[in-house]
Amino acid sequence: MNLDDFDEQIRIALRLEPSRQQLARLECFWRQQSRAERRRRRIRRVATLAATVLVAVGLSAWLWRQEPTRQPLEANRRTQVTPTAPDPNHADAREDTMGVQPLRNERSLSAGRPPTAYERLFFAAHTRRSVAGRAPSVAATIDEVIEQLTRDPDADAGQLAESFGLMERDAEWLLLRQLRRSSDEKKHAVLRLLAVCGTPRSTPYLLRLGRREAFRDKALATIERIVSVEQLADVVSQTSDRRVRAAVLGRLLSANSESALRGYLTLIHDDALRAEALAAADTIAKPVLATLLALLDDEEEDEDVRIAAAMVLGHVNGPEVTNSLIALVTREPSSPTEAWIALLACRGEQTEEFFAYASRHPRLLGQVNRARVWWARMIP
Amino acid sequence: MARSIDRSAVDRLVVEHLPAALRFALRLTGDSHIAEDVVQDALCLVLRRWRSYRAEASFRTWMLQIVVNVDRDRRRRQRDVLPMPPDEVISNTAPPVEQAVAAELHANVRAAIDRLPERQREVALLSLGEGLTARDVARALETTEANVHTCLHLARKRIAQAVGFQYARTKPT
Repeated sequence: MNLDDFDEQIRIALRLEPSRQQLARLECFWRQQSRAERRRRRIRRVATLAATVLVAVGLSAWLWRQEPTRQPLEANRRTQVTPTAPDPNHADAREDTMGVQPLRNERSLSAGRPPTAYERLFFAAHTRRSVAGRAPSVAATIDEVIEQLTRDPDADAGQLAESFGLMERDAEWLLLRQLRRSSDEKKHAVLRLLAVCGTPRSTPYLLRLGRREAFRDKALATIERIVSVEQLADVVSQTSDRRVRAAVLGRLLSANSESALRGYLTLIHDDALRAEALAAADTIAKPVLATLLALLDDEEEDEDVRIAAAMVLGHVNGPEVTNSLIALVTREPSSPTEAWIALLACRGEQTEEFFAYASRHPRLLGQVNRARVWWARMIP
Repeated sequence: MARSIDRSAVDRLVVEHLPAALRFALRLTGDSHIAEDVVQDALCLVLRRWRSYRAEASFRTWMLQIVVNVDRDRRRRQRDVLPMPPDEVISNTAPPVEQAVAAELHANVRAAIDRLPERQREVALLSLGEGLTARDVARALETTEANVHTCLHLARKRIAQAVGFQYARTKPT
C-alpha cells in the first residue's frame, strides 16, 4: 500500500452520510433563524429611524419652547431700565413709566396667530400625558403578571392574562424573551402564561427549554396546550434532543386520545424515528394496547395505521399481546394479515411454538408465508 | 482581492455547505445529536458574523472554521471523551463478507484518529476527511501551512502505526 492508497483508506474510513432528517431539520433551523435575523435587523433600522425622529422632534420642541421666553426677557430687560421706586411726582419718571407700559401690554408675536399643526400635536401630546398619564407598557404588565403568578402558584394564568389584557396585546414575543432571560422560578410562571397566550411560533423555544430536565414536563405540557394533543406528533421531528423526543412520544401514548395515538402511529413509518417511537411503546398502558388491537382488526382502517399498530404490538410483545394476536390470526373465516405481521415481530417461546404449529397446517402456513413476504418488504 | 458578500448569497451558500458542516461535526463529536447542536450553534454564529466574511478563503472553509471553534468551545465546557461515530452512523448497510477485512481496517483507522491529539485530529479530519488543501486547513484552524503539514505527517504516522502500515514521508501534501 503506497501513501496515496493509505490516504484513500483513511478517506473511506472517514466517509459518512448525515441523515436527511437531520439536514432537513438544520435547513429549517437556518431558515427560521435567518428570517428572525432579518426581522431583527428591520426592527433595529426602524428603531434607529424612530429614535432619530424623536431626537429631532425633541430638539425642535425645545427650541420652540425657548422662543416665547425670549420676549419676556427682552421686556424685563427694558423694564429694568425703569427705577425700582420712581417718584410719582417726577415728570420724567411718569413719562418713563408710561413708555414701558405699552411694552408690557403688547401681545407676543406668536400669540395672535393660530397654532401650526406641529404645535397642536406637541400641545396635545403634553396635555394627554399630564391628564391621563401613560398607559403601562405590555412589558411592565407582563412583569407584573409573572410576579403575581410566581407569588401565587395556584392563580389562574388564563384569568390573569385576560384581566391584564395580554390576550389582546401581542405578548408572545415578550414572554419568549422572558423565558430566556428570567430566573428558573419565574420560568414556570412564563410557561403558564405561554400556555394561554402562545401560538405554534413558541414551539421551537419551548422544545429548547425542554432539554432541561427540570422544565421538560411543563414545557411539553405548554406545547400540548398550544398545538393540541392531535398535532403533538408533528413536534417530535422538530427537536434534535433524543430525551425530548422520547418525552413527546410518551405524551402521545399516555394522552388517552385516539388522534394522538394515530399521530404516534404515523411516526412508526418514519425511518428516522421508528426505533425511538417503538422504544417509547415499552411503557405502553393496557387500554392503549386494546385500542391498537382494535385498529389492527378494523378492515376499514387505513393500511398504514394497521401496519404501524402491528409493529408496535410486535415490539411490545409479552404473553398477553401474543395470546390476543394468536386469537386474531386463528379466527375463522379470515384473519387480518397485520395480525400475522405483529405476531412475526413478537419473540418468545409461545410465539415459536405457535409458528411451529402453523407450519404443520396448510391454511395457516399460507398466511404465515404471506406475512413473511410483507415483513421482508417492510424491513429490508 | 477580498470582497464582501450579500445576504441572499449567504443563505444559498449555507444551505449548499450544510451537509459538509454536519458531516464534519459528526466526525468531530462522534454523536449525531451533539453534532446537530454544534451545527445549530455554528449557524447562529454564521448569522452574526457573515458580514466579516471576505471571500479570502472559500465559504466552506470559513463555515468549517466556525464549526471547529464551536466544537472547541463545547469541549472546553464539557471536557469529556469524544469517541468517533459508531459504525452504524458511518454506513446504513452492513458490508459484504468480502469487505470484512477492509471494514476492520477502517474501524482501526477511525479508532486511531479518535486517539489523535486534538490539533492532529482536526487537521486529519479537515484534510483527509473533507479534502481541504493545507492552505485552507491552516485558515480554518488559524495556524500556518507548515504546522498543518507537520500535524498531518504526525497523524498519518500514528494512524499507520495503529493499522500496521509502513509509513515514510515520501511527498509533501
